[in-house]
Amino acid sequence: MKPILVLILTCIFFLGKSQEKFTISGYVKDGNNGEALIGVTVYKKNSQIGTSTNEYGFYSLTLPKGSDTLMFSFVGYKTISRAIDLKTNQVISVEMGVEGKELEEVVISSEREDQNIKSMEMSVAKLDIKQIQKMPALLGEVDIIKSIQLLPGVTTVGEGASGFNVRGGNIDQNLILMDEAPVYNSSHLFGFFSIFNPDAVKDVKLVKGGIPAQYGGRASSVLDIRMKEGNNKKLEVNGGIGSIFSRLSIEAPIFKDKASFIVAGRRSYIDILAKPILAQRQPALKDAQFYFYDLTAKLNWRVNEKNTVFASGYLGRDVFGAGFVFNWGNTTGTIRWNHIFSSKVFMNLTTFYSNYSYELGFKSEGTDQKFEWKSNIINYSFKPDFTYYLNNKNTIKFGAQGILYTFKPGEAVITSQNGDKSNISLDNQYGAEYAAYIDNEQKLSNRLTLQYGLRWSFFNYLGKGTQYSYRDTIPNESRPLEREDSIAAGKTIAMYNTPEPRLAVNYTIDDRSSVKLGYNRMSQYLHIVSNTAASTPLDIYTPVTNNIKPLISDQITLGYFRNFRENMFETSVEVYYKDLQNQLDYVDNANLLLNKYLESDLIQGKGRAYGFEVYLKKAKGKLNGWVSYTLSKTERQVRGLSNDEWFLSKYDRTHNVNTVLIFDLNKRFSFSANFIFQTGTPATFPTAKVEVQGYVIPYNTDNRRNNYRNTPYHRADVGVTFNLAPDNKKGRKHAIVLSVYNLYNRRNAFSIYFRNNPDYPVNTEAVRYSVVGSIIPAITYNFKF
Amino acid sequence: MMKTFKFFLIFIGASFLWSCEDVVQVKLDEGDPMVTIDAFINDMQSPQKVRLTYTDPYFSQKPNEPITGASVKLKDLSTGMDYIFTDNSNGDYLWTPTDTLRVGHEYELTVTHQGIVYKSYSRMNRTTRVDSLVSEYREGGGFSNAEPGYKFAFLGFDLPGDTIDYYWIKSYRNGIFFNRGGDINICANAAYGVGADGFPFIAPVAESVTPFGELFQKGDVCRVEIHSINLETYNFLTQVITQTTNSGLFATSPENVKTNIKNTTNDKVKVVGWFCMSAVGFKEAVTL
Repeated sequence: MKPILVLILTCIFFLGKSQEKFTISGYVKDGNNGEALIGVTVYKKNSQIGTSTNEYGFYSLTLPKGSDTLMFSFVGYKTISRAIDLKTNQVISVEMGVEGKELEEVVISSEREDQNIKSMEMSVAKLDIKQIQKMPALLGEVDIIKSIQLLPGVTTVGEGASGFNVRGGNIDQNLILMDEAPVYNSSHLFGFFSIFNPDAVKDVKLVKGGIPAQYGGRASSVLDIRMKEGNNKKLEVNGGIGSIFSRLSIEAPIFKDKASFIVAGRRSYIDILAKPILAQRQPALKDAQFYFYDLTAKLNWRVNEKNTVFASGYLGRDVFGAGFVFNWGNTTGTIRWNHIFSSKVFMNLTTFYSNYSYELGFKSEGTDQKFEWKSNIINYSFKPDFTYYLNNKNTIKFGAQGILYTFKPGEAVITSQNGDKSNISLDNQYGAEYAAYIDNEQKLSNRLTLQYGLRWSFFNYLGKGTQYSYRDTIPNESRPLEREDSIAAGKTIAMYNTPEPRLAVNYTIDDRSSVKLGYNRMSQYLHIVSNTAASTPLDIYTPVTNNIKPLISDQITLGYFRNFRENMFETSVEVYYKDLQNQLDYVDNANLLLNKYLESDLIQGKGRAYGFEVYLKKAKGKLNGWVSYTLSKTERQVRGLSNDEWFLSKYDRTHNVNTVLIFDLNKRFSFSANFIFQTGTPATFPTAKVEVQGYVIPYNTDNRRNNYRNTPYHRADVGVTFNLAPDNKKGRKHAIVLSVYNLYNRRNAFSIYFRNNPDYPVNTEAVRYSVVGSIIPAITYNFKF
Repeated sequence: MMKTFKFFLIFIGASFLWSCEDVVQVKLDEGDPMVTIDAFINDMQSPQKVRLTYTDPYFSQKPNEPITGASVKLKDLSTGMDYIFTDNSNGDYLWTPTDTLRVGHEYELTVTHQGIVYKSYSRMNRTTRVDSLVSEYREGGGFSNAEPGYKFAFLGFDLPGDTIDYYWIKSYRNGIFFNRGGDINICANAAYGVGADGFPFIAPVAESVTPFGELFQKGDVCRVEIHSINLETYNFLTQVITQTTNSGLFATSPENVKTNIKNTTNDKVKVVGWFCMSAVGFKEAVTL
């Protein structure tokens, strides 16, 4: 790794010195509500010199002394031009207006919307929340995760499955950040809805490849979700009444332009609607509970030009109960401090707390007999990140992160009829993860830009706990226990470290096209433990231990980007190859719940994924949207499984076509449609039946895993948004959204399973299970005032 | 517990969403036949059976083909006594014991067929008794839309001790065994997994003797047997439950059930099946 460090330092050292220069820095905000704008291009007019605003809306640009014109450009906003006369460092903060609204700034026509060509980012998809809101959605519930699943390279095992798979990565390999705090379970109601309230979300970015060094901890992708800061100009209320949820968000200034807040909440209300019906028809279920809610709150305070403080929190829970208790959810809290050390050095300091927990309990009526089970993952983290805008050729980012983990895999107690308690809890597990990184984006010439960096991550698996040692056995058998040792608090049980080099190259061919190359190594020190088709809320995470090694992925991506018709159309073609080491798999008949010898049932293997992605996006105009096609393969090889041969992973989809079209007819109506086609997921089907004790058991005599495929998945959805008050002067909005999910009523197979016919047990049959087996229409009313 | 829990998950997933299931045609490869040895032997004074069959293609739509002409022998390794099972020419090999099998003894099963000798070993573990059977009238309806009737449960205690006792609780209505894969009722001590040593059997175990949607009517006889099994058999039956009810959102990757029977002659001919020796405690009651 040393050569890379030397290379970085040398590159930084040889940065040319020339004439006298000054730095312009500042924030770019939305003039309408004061929200910081992310990714605004700031550049010197008629030149290649420019930068873009960071996640907090900050930019810094160093230019030679003298008079010039500075441009601020952002899709959907009026471009701003500012005359400058540089004699000293300057602070220029601007507020941009939405197209079609007059602000005091000069409007010019030449736009800079070729960000996709010029930026270092590749394999990145940014979703505009306004666009997501127009897309047809299941039950009319605008959903970020569902929208992500319409991007190239992203698959899922099916509807109702929680999470998503990026370029052959498992669902736990996505770093899902909500205001920089990781989220462990992104779903409500298993996987039907995601936990992010769309009214509180400002920006969504998915990074699939060429992942920069500032991100780490997961092997396959980063989903960076930024919440709104809250309108700091005036009171704004958004809300909606939908088929599943009702939503309400309130944002307002505390001190105008200085401090503001947003509070957003959602609650499902099927239980309330169903209560009278249940009371009548299913008296046993009249006290049944089934609902989910989430609450997002954020406060920001611009202390002065140099300091801004943000506090944000999220609380969400799914609750089910009917003679049993079952609930789960995330709680996160983040405090961030933005500090500008100088016009060239920006710092964000994040501390967060994140807690994912679930609880399950059964109680026998009329007795003391019960079973209670709780589980948590708790994180505390401290994360300083610095950006040093060295000059207009080099932007250096560096920082560090420390995370303390407490895993509580299971606190479980059985109480007998006479009140005797039997505690079958598992030990807590503790870990500490540290990382430091440095990264430089260097413009070598007008055409060639490099971004190179190194992240070095460390993980300590710590006591207090038990260290289990297992003997080797034949593959695919539970490993026998050799010994158990008690380890004192704070003592290291196992330690790992991974140097993670990152590289991105952008060669701009001309104004309309570029070639990009990306490489990243990522390491992951915790694994989800789940052997079900869709992950359940009960799945626990395990840290790496003396028996479980960290997951390491290496990915190389090559892409060609080209825009057509004045950036009206954006296209890209990318190929990727990803190699995964130490992916978790399970011995046959593994016992994953409340098992203190869990590690003896885990095995690790190799993975590889490769593919080809084509993306065509129409970014502007009345008709906009995208078409994407992915051709890919994802495989695993695990000793002891499937005759030791490579087998398809459960989320492999050879072909994946996604089409999203939005047609803004006029101010009143907009229409939208999705069409999705995906190769069916791989499946293991039996070739024989075994009879034991009268049970007919499906059996695969070749012992090959995923030897078949389910039928292809395809689906179309349509939606229409009807604005009731299109010309309201005060910015009030009322809209009705009608949507139809699964328009042509296809029964897509989530899985096919095999059973004896319930009426004629001697007959065996295949049964298709469809999560959505009908057309689902929905109506939602949304408002803003 | 996982069984009960899985049911809840399926219920939650299915009850107010739009899931559906339908029988579809699938073309499957046909695997070569494999010898299956099904040998669950217990200490009751009724005829004991070992059944030998060949596996059949999954969609054959007929019972698996019986194997005849084999020899089946049970040996008590503690006493050296041999018990010979006689070929009933329909795949069943029968033997009627007379108070001969003992808890704590180690047994060896030997099956010889077409020159190949298959062997397996099992110890007969201790079992507990069914103290009593209780029934309760149920309105019916509910998710299963069952007829109203009586739901039986049994009362009993796990045997206290350092080792975990594993039980297979079999229940019968009018002599007919509830034999759906999902009805297999097994437990470790009085519950699932570790703990609950010496406890009364927890409600999900005690109540599962009346499978979901299968209430008893007046005059029906309920019989409950507690068979002692060992950890390996507990794991095998867990696998049978999973592989015969592997549906829905939370299905696991299908896998082949394990076997504890070995071909001692060569490595070429593969065998499936299970051998287990059980002691049994039982009770019967008539629905009044």
